[in-house]
Amino acid sequence: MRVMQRETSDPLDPSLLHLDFATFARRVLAARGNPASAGPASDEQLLFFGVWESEGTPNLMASIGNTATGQSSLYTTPLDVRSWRSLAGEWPALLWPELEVADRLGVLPAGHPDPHPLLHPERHTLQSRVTGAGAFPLPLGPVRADVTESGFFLFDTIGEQIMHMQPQLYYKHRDVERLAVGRSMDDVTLLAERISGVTTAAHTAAYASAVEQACGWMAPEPLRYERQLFMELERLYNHAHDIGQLASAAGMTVAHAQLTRVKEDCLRMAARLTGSRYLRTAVSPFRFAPVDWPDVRTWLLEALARVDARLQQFVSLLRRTPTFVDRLVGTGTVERTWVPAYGLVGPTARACGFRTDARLAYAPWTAHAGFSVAVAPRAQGDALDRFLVRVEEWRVSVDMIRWLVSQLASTRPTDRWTPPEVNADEARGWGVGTVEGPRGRISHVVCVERGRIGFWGVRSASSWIWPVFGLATANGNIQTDFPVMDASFGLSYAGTDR
Amino acid sequence: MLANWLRAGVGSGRVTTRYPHPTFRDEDGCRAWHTVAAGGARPCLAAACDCAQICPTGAIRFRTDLLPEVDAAACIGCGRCIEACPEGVFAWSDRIDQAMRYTARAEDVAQRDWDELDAAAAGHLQSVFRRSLHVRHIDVGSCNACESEVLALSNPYYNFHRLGIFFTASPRHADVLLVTGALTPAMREVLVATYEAMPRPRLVVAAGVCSLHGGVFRESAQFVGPLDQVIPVDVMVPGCPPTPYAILRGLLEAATRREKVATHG
Ligand code: SF4
Repeated sequence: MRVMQRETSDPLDPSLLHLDFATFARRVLAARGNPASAGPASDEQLLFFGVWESEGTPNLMASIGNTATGQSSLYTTPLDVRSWRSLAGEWPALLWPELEVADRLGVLPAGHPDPHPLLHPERHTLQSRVTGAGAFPLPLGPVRADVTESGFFLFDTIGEQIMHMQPQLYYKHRDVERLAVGRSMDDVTLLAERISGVTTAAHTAAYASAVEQACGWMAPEPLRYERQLFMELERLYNHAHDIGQLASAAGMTVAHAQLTRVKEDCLRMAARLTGSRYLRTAVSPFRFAPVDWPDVRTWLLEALARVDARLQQFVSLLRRTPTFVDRLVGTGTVERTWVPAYGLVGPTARACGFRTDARLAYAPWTAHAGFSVAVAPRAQGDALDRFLVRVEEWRVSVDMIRWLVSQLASTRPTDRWTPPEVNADEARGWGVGTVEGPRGRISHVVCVERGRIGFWGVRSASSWIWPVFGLATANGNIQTDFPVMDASFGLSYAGTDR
Repeated sequence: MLANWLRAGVGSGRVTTRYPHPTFRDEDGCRAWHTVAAGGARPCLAAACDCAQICPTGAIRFRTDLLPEVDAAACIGCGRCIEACPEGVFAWSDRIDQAMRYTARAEDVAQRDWDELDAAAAGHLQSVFRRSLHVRHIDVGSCNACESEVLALSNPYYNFHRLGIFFTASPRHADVLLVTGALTPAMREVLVATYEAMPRPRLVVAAGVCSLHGGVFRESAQFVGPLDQVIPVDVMVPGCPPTPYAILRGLLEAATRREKVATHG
């Protein structure tokens, strides 16, 4: 047996705590809140859980954020593969993260409730879980109708009723995190931009703040404003997209067309600001985007007013259309208890009435910029609530962009262009960056060694939500509701598979 | 309610692009979108720096006469070469609709004469749209930006239905397979099965640097290889991601090719 280690911090890097497995497990499980109650989530959040291979030996690594202080801690424990015990039985949020670690190392943790290959779907066939009279398995994917990302779903149905559904992801696993090891900080920015191509700003902002923390550098206020503005603009086009897809799934063709137009307008705003429709190269560590804010203020505010008016017009029509609302009520319901149990984030958690948003904890200054958490007043956790949360978040983001661009436009250029004094070759350390992306909390954990990336861990919002997607789909729904449920979650495959 | 919807829909006005009509100019400054870099405007005289090393995907190559060139199939549009070059030999391409006939030899990609192909495409436009074009899209490992741009084709700005192009759910009804993403082991068999299910003549449009070259994922152990190592590719659409105009151009090129295949055997 391994000698029990006392809780010690790395002498060179106090932010990384080396623990023995029992203490590590206790720390991680403390972040789950109370799974039995649907009360408020605890002060602690699990931001990242994965494997860190250091000098050939694997370690479990977890990052836990404190929502009261906005600080994040990093814990690690040597992974003794013979005695690795699963924690997923106690906290289902760890079901998929543990399987990812298992696939990377080729060892399963003892007592995992649902062991199967996750990262390599080509090595695994999902088995139908419902048997008996009338039970019928219905496979869907990985190539589906229309233009979608690749993913596979196995439905177990009786008649039209969905009894059980298992999603199979990771068809697009590109091993992005391992690709980063040994590369320069700037080269990894290019990878961060392409974890989820429609969440470029959020992923690069999380990555940049992790790298900057690792290098002991604090982004100045205008830089934080600028990144937040890009992230809010990204939220706008993603929410317009998701609401549009929902309208389409419910047969609202006029609304769908108009919302795709809103999305295109937002993409063109992004391109006019940065040259890139998807805000590529807009965010990178230690650097401002080459945007002349005083110059863009006028047209940006005008363009914003136009897209906002169009979205509001069609959303208010949707809300008054009974055939639309009826399709959403009670569809794909997420039970309140699942939120702490699976560590749900983003609009999915807020639709259940939980006041959870990374901007509250990790960017509290956004309160001055007009940020407030959008929680669904009905708190039913169904497709309607997810829709209403997105609509409210759209409004908040528009307000925030107005405030941010005004601030940025009035900052003197000398303040904005002061280059940071960072000697990249000397830089070393660990950092954690957490932001609220369009689908929820995104966290990056980074280790910088002499200006190069030694470790990179990424948890995107969707990766916390996917495990309940199957549960919500089989929560009293019929097959024809699937497009509505799918669109109402609006989850990312690329961000999860990465 | 229905009347409200009709009024709102009709009242919202028309925004559809004239592309690819010759009168297409610039819409909302789209000509300024960063697509791929273009080199070779003039020879580079500063031999001291090494821009080929700056490029993260190895897209920059020097011809013997010191003309640096950018392989459009590999350029992810990061802008590093443009920012770094003291001689200013690189610039953003002013083409927002780059798409061309595919040849496997990399040298041809940089030297290909796009204008010539454009003329051919324009000449064929009339005959091409006697029949509609049915497209099956497949994502073999993308970051999802390509899908977002493919989806944009059906928004009111690009509205590709006006050109007789449609997405189809079944590969059995598809003329064209539109492929996006860096091919992963898990998608390899799925891709081949989808391709095999298509009726002949069948055309493949590879859209985005990931499918053509691998882009930033080229070094990944999970990257199988450029698409043409697995299925034949007819048209390539550069960009990371390609603009909707470029994807549209790629589909039009495919339509042109199909017409040729249909008439000449
Ligand atoms: S823009 Fe970037 S990817 Fe393209 S050629 Fe220049 S350095 Fe290479």
